[in-house]
Amino acid sequence: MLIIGEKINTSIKDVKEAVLVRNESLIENLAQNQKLGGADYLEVNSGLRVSPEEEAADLEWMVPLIQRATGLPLCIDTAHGLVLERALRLHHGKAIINSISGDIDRWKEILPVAKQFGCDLIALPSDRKGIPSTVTERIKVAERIIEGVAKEGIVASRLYFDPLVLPISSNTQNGLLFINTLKEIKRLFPEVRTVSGLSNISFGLPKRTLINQSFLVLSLEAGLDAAILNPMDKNLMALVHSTEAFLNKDPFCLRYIEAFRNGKLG
Amino acid sequence: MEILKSIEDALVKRSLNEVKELTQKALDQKISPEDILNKALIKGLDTIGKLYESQEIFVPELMLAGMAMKEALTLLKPHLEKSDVPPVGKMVIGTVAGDVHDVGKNIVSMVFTGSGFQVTDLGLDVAAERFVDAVEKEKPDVLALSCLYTPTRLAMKDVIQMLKQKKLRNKVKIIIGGAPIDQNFADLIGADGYAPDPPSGVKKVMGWLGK
Repeated sequence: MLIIGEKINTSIKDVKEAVLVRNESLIENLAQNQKLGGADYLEVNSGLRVSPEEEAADLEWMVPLIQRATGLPLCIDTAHGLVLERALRLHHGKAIINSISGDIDRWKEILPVAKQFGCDLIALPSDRKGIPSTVTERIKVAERIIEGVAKEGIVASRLYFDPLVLPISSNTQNGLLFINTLKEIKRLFPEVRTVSGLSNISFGLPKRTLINQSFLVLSLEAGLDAAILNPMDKNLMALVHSTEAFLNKDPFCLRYIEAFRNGKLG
Repeated sequence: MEILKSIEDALVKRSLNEVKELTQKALDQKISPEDILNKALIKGLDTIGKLYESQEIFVPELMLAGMAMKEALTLLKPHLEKSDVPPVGKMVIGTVAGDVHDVGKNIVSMVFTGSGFQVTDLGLDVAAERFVDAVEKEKPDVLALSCLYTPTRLAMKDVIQMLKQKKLRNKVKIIIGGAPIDQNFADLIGADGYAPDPPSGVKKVMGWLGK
């Protein structure tokens, strides 16, 4: 599974402070530690600004800093084409853009930039009416997105679909709705990949890590290709290794054994 | 009165059927609906809020209590209307433009309804004009704005600015909430306040209304 490290996000207090005062070492350490934990990509976000200009300046500071420290490609989380373009100009390798949805008005500034820089895209099967509450409706939005981006010259294999996870605390159907949407996406659109964040599922419940772990294992079995998570969480990463070995995604269990040798199985 | 205490306890236990049955029983015994509301249900909900804050109960239990409260209020409503008791307060709530997340907003809406507020829920992706129209027409005491998606929180500022333009800003208190929101942001855009969770939102609004 592709691991996208979630920790460089200004909704986290330390990161917010670091971005505001341009504290290089905090961001560098966070980037390196996530790489050490097993991240393949690092997410980067600056949601603390009011103007896109300022947000772009934050990313222009962070993108080269993180890439110098790790050499990893980035997953850039922004809603603005302008921010994206300025971040990508400084980015090396193939970035992932987080995200587009079925709200076509919002694509207009994102897709040309995605095409220009050859990025992959995370796509959410929601639209202006909200997050559909059935598998069928989500699949319809997914179809619309695949057709829409194809018209702009972006092939489906560049998409990571997020089946969309809502907390089970607000509705206990939300877990199965996620798994069933995931399986249906894999069945109908075998060329696209799938991605999800892990922590939404457990909002509002005690011992959230337990729910997140169950969610990770079952999602892996259902075919989840990538996860946005905290790679510094040793238990979680150990569970990725053991589950992948179990699901025949780790020939000869070599990655599992290697993780053991590197002290990554706890 | 013993039955009022039983209703309060049943609500604190989140026992939906018991709250309903006991509320009906109290009405049958000719206990005043104001007493049932103020001396049993609101008291019980206050305890629920404290239990939630101290993490002794969790979101699903908060929602169950809200549902029990709503059921009890449905029973009380015809009686309260007869005796001309106004709602605790009037609230207009919605998720701001560009944002389609309504899980949190729905929980807040339910907890305020349960606390005796008359809540008008405008839904999600609500344009600033619709909030302003609702403030003009419904004359709520409180306007509650929600968002989950960071870029859309700026739409909250648009709502407040439009209210100012229409000279409606001082007619309504504004409370905001959602994952990317904090007190700083509330101050920055000129909202009256921010609440991190539904019970503390109720507490804050009750304070504003002097209840």
